[in-house]
Amino acid sequence: MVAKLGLDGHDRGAKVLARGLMEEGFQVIYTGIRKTPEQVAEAALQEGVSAVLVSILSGSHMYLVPRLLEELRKRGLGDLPVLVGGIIPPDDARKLKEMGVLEVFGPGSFIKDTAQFLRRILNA
Amino acid sequence: MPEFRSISDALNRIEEGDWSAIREALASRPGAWRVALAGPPGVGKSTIIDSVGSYLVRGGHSVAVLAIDPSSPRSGGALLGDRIRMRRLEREGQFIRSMTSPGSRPRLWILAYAAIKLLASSGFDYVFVESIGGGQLDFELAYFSDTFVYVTVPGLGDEIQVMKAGAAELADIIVVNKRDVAYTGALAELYRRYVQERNGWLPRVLEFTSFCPSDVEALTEAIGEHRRHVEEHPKAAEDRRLTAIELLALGVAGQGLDRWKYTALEGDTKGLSDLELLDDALSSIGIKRPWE
Repeated sequence: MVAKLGLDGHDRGAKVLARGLMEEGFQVIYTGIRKTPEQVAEAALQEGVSAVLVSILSGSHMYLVPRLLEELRKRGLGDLPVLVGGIIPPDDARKLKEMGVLEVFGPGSFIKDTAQFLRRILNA
Repeated sequence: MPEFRSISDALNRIEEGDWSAIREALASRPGAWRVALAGPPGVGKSTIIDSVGSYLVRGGHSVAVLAIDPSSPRSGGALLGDRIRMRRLEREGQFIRSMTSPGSRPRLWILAYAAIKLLASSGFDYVFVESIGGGQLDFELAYFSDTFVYVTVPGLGDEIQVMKAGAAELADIIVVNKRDVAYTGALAELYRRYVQERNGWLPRVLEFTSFCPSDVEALTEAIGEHRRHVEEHPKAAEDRRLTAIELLALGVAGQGLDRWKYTALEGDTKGLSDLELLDDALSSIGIKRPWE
């Protein structure tokens, strides 16, 4: 699932990623923009997804991502791989990974690499 | 409200083609009223489900949605975007599930039918099913549902398109959508000219926009009216169910049945589950049950 959290409405990156992963053979659910952490966690539960990819360009990742992780844990989805992409400074990326984010993909990442990463962690 | 985690897990098993999960779903009794929507891509199926569904929620009902999107013929992947249109149902905490199926259409029939059955027996009042968006060819859902709604918009063609065979012929309700941005009167009039009464029900033709509350109310009322009609005509509903079983048997066996439905309809099938009927249909052509 590709998700957009918070008030950030810039979703060109999320759309390119969703389409690119579809072309790589993944079944991708795109949540659309302006979702709350609760909505994304609930959607992940209802859709039975294998991973959540969050795209954030607004700078509010240190507020929103921990809340998403908490909402996932509340629903018994603490083991679900969470990946973050967008504008994430290296220090924040390190902190997010300490909190439980599996990987952070910044600008310049290639979709093929993200796809390969996903295949590796999902054994797909 | 049903427990969402276990429903979601069971749907995952069905999507993986796990026969024990499919078998369980087929053996269950649907409690929900199943409404399926078909029509070309972009005509407003998801938005209609959101508007009618949230109207029902305000009336105290619970709603589940199964939104089927196509998978890529090139990569086998899929981009599932119906959820985006269902913001109100999402806010109101209803169950929305996207589904796709790489592989053959008959395989999708079995998985989709099992998924619909699972949702319909999970304690929801209404289950909405959104078709793949194929338009004319998308008629199987007519047999997998209790009320079948065909959605279209003006501008897709002339009278000849309305006359052609396909999903619209099986519709219980035809929605000519987007009357807020296009003139829907002429197309609605054409459909009214060509709809035919089946089992005492003349398909309703509605000009519609999801933005107008009285339109949403009218469509919900039409669904309710059709429901009352079906409940008064159980034989027609049973014919529909047996056609669904025929399609499932075709999906499992890869070959058609020989007059099975007609023989079955002569007897009393009402007490039999879908699983028992499929079993009977398969054994009529000597095919082994896939769940054993």
